[in-house]
Amino acid sequence: MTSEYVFEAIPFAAESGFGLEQEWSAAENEEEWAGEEEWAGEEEGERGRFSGRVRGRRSMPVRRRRRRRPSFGRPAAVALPTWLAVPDAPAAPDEPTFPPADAPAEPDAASFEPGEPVEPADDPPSEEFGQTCCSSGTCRCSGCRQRAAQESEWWSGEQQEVAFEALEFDPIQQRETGGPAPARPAAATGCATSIVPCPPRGGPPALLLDGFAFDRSDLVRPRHSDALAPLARQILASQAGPSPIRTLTVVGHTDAAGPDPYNVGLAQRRAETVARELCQTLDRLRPGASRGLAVRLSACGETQARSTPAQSRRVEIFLPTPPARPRRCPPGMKERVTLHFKILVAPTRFSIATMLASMRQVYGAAGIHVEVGSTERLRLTTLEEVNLACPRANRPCGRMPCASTNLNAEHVALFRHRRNVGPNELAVYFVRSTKPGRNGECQHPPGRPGVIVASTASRWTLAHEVGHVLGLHHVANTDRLMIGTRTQGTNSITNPPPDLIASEVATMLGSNLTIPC
Amino acid sequence: MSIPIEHLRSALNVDEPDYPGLTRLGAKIAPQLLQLAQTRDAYIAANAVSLAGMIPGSAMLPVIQAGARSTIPQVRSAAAAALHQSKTPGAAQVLAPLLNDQDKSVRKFAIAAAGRRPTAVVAETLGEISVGDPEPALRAMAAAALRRYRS
Repeated sequence: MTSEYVFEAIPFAAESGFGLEQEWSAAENEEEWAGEEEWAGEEEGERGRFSGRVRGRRSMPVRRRRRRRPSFGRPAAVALPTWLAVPDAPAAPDEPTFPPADAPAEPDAASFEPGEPVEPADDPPSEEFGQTCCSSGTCRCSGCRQRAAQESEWWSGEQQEVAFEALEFDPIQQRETGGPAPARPAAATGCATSIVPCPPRGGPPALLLDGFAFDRSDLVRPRHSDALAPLARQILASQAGPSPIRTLTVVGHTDAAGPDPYNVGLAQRRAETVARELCQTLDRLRPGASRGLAVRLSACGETQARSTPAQSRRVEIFLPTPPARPRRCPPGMKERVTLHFKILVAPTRFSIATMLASMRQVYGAAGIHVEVGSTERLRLTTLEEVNLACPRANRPCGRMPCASTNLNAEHVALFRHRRNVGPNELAVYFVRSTKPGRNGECQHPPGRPGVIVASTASRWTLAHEVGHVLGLHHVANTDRLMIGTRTQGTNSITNPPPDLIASEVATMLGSNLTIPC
Repeated sequence: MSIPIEHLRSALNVDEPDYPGLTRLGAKIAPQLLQLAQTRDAYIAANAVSLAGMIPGSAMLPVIQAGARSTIPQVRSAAAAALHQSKTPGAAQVLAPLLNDQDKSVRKFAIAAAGRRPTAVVAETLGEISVGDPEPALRAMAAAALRRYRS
């Protein structure tokens, strides 16, 4: 007779974060800025290239203000610090504001006079570069004209002085003078940022955010912000694993238009914007999670442009490469099975190490290496004794196959905890006991393979239950691992280590949970 | 014919006891189960109490009571879980002390059982648990059981 338990909905899900608190230690950032100093000033016009047919028109007012920079005795290529309480840096061109002498004449630039401001014409809004005509720099609508006027005003008066005063204490300024870039917290987050040189082209980044608007460093929402959320979750998830992510590198890029020094600054602002958004996302997901995360900002400018300007206007995030897990099986092993230990209550009769060693003894004889993927302590106070009662007594329960949809809510809640567990890997939940009492249980929700091991389990229970998940059934022979219920189970194994016969080994090797070495 | 206690002990001392098969033995195994529920082996004692809860009839109530008085938390939680499914009259009296057990797992199963046996005493205890239990999940469970009782 099976009983029918009808438990109330229990807020087990609220416990999903228990036991995972892990303080991040602030990573040290000892890199010193070794980048080339950039002093653009009056040279920028000579070094620049003209690549946009009408960009120069919009940017002429900007050019005017940029020419004023040397009067403050500051490098024109200095990026604006994003932690200033000012909006995103006003639009300035990716490219110089006037064409070089050898630039090919383009129809729209026919009337362009180098060095002179060009008043925007009263053309209708353009959709040339996308939804926002102003971002293209070609639009002459009233909104864009107003924006251009605001940009011209931005550098005037007190704002201008405040901005440059802030630069006195800004790490970017120190970078330009060759000093080391100290770590400092990003605005409103616990992230510590430092400036590092542009890294060489390497492997694929963990996240690529491209399609930044021309000459803009603000995120493209919701595309960029949506892409950052999974990365933030990955960083949080890693904290409970063997290789917690405590540093990352954010690299900003621009397209080829514009002078190199300006593009370095623009790339820097893009990297800062992304880093700030990522840190804020971390804090939203888990308050205080950004504390101690070291973010290395790097600006490559246009040096690593990609095939199209939109693809080049990007930010790449690189995560540290975790040390490779040993994937080589011991000699003589054909396949391996990976277990992830989730300890709610440690076993009392035999230690986990003894159970693992015993399992390796049996499985090793069959050519199957037992690998431990991770070990995690779960503080799930209401699941330390887990209810395994069959929710619907009129359906098979507690029998093979182990994957079952006929599980009660508590049983399913336990198997939701699969942090670090891959799809072809097993979670092993060590609990104090089950109700009704069993030393082990193989039943699991479909797609979440795993077993439950009680604190009173025998040294062979772990191997026995995993054997069930791999497809093995009970037998009556006390010399074999899969000894069933007619005797004292694995307690009654008479000739240790227990055996696996050839057909059982074939079944195990045929399981998708055993991976070739 | 009486069932030897060693036979029952062996049957309950396996990794996965065949509870459906053992319940077919019926109430006649109550004396043996009572002895097993009082052993110091936590696994066997808890399994004996669990089996008692699956067998209908008042003959099993002493087994559950013995489990509720055990010094082993796993056995007491087995008693609470057995009360959840037992339809034996008088089970509510066994339940009351388990609701205030010091072990949180015992309280969890007791609260679940209390939700199915709404009496005035039980409801009062559930009300206290719903505001005073140190475990938030248990407070929520008790509150849910209380709401069901009042509805």
